[in-house]
Amino acid sequence: MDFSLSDEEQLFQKTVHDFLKDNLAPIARDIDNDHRIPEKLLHGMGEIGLLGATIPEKYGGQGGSITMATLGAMEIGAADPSMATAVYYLLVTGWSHLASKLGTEELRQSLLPKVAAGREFLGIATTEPGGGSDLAAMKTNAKREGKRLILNGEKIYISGVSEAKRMGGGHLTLMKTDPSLKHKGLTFAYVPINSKGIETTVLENMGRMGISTGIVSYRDVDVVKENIIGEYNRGFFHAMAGFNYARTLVSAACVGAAQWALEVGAEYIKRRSAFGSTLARYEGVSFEFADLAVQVEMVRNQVMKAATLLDAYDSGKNVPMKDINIAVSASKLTAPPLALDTIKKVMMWHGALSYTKDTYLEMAMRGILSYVVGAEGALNIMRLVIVRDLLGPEFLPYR
Amino acid sequence: MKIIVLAKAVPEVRNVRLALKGGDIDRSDLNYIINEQDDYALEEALRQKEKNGGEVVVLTLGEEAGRKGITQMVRQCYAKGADRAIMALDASYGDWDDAVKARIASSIISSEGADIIIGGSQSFDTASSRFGPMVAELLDIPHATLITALRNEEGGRITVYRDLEQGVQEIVELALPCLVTVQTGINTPRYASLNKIIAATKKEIKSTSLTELQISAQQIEAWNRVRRVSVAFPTEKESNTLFLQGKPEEEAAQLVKLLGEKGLIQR
Ligand SMILES: Cc1cc2nc3c(=O)[nH]c(=O)nc-3n(C[C@H](O)[C@H](O)[C@H](O)COP(=O)(O)OP(=O)(O)OC[C@H]3O[C@@H](n4cnc5c(N)ncnc54)[C@H](O)[C@@H]3O)c2cc1C
Repeated sequence: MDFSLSDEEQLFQKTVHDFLKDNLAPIARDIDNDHRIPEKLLHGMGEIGLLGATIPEKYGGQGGSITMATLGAMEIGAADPSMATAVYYLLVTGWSHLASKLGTEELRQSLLPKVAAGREFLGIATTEPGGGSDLAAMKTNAKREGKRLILNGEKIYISGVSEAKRMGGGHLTLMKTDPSLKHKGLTFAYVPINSKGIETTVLENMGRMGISTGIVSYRDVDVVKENIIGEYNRGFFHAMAGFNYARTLVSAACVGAAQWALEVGAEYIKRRSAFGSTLARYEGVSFEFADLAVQVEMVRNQVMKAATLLDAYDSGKNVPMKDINIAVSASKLTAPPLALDTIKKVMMWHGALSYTKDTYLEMAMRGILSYVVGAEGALNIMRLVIVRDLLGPEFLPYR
Repeated sequence: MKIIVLAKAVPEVRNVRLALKGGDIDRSDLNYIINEQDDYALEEALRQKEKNGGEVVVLTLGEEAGRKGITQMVRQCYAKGADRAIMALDASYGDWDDAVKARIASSIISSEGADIIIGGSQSFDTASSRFGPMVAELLDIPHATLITALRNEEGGRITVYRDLEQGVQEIVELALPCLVTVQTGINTPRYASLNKIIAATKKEIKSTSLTELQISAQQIEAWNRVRRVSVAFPTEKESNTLFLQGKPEEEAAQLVKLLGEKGLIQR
């Protein structure tokens, strides 16, 4: 087992770090205030190959690995701990990875180059007003009509609604195509947000203000067959495969934010004094630092393991899906809460200063919470996956 | 147009606590990055190539012990667009004066041949500023230091701009072949893209040695006439932070007065 990064991974990480230090970290607060990621930044991220890092070169991408994309996510989470840029990045990167594997040739050619260049948005739409965890219970449905599907229904808490409307792009959308078959009757398809019959509403969030979430309603929306991802009625399984990529990147962004908070905290406790000594000399503080540093390292290793398994799987190696599911779910189960805990403790070391907007800590806390409450899958759902794959499906509560 | 870029890998000191060992800093655990000004030199070379065609060759000298980091730096140059690279590493590099390094570099450059040689005006770790001019003198070609812009002219000449004190700008014309050293403001270096990074790690780097260059230990000994005696950390200084006191408008007035006294602002 080798824990070191390859030469190209190291070089990519350093390039991304330098790019983000110059171009993202200085404007992270503006992104939160202005509720918008500047297009110039997205184009720059496209140029260095961050967006859609894994898209093959013939579709305008870079032909990188999930491990590289994961390193990118860590750097982005550290440079903009509000998570807004990380959300944009990981949706676009995770779901374009799936689209480049399972999309039709037409879709790959028309969509992926623009997504990789930071000129169109690509996200995911599975959650509905009736619930996000229980996907088989969804109501949004599509009827076959000739070569196309006619889509009706409503999705909610969908990230990137305004971005897709503004820049172009859309969402890989899960829809019921055969209600009698439950989760075996779902189809996954790309739906451009500017399609006829779509209406959107933007929700007001508490954090990660730089990227919108909203409601998308579909009324007799045409979905052409070229936009179907993978096989008809196999959408549930394709979406689950996609979640494994996206959740790995989410977890990486959280590790990046936790690492960032820890570094901010370390700088502060080495300088700030109370009762004649720096805070870092009080074990009440330094032991907390040590514990967090250890946990961040453990979770980072967990996330890197998930990325490594996904790369091995993609390159055709014989990796049991169960191992991937467990590694990814363990990452998504641990990384967001750890990031939240780290930020909270670092805030406490900062005292009142952390309650002002003079640090990025409050912004980071608001952003990370989105991944603790549910975005990209609720934590209990991660536990359910682990239960299913370790104890057996017969122990699932809903079976 | 063939351009040689003199690029040096220097220790990365961000988040690093430097230690001393023998008469030098302890380099065993250091990571290397491209010397900042050399990054601007590379960018200038790449822009010239993009405008006028030609080839960009990176030349780097360094310590054998730093091979991994130096190789990584060369790859970074490849990923940004350099066409070829020559690397000359030696175990005793750390003991050499600039005169030795300049002779080795000029020997490589004279067999390579180049229209323009571009380097940084200073390296971050030794800060002597002598290397570039020495190489030019050894090659018997004209040079200009600290340039802030470079324009290619008709008839085998270039024009370079140099910023002098008090905002005075000097414009100098040089006949090719020539050598220039650049300032950091000359351009904005690009970032490498992921696909170029992937390609760069597969590209060959030419390595040469003193033996191959037919340079003997005696020659090195004879050229090496300036030696580092030791390095040390400066003794800790008392902080000279000045706290201004008073109402905001009084503080502002004091600040303006102080900055004026120090010649930092003019009225
Ligand atoms: C900021 C943000 C952005 C989002 N962006 C998107 C997006 O782009 N696209 C998209 O499709 N969705 C998006 N979501 C929605 C997200 O996927 C859902 O929040 C998530 O799937 C959970 O669904 P829910 O919120 O409806 O909660 P529910 O499914 O109603 O779950 C509520 C609670 O019950 C728990 N629970 C549910 N079932 C069980 C069980 N069997 N056993 C134990 N506990 C259980 C859950 O863990 C959770 O704590 C986003 C969410 C947020 C907060």
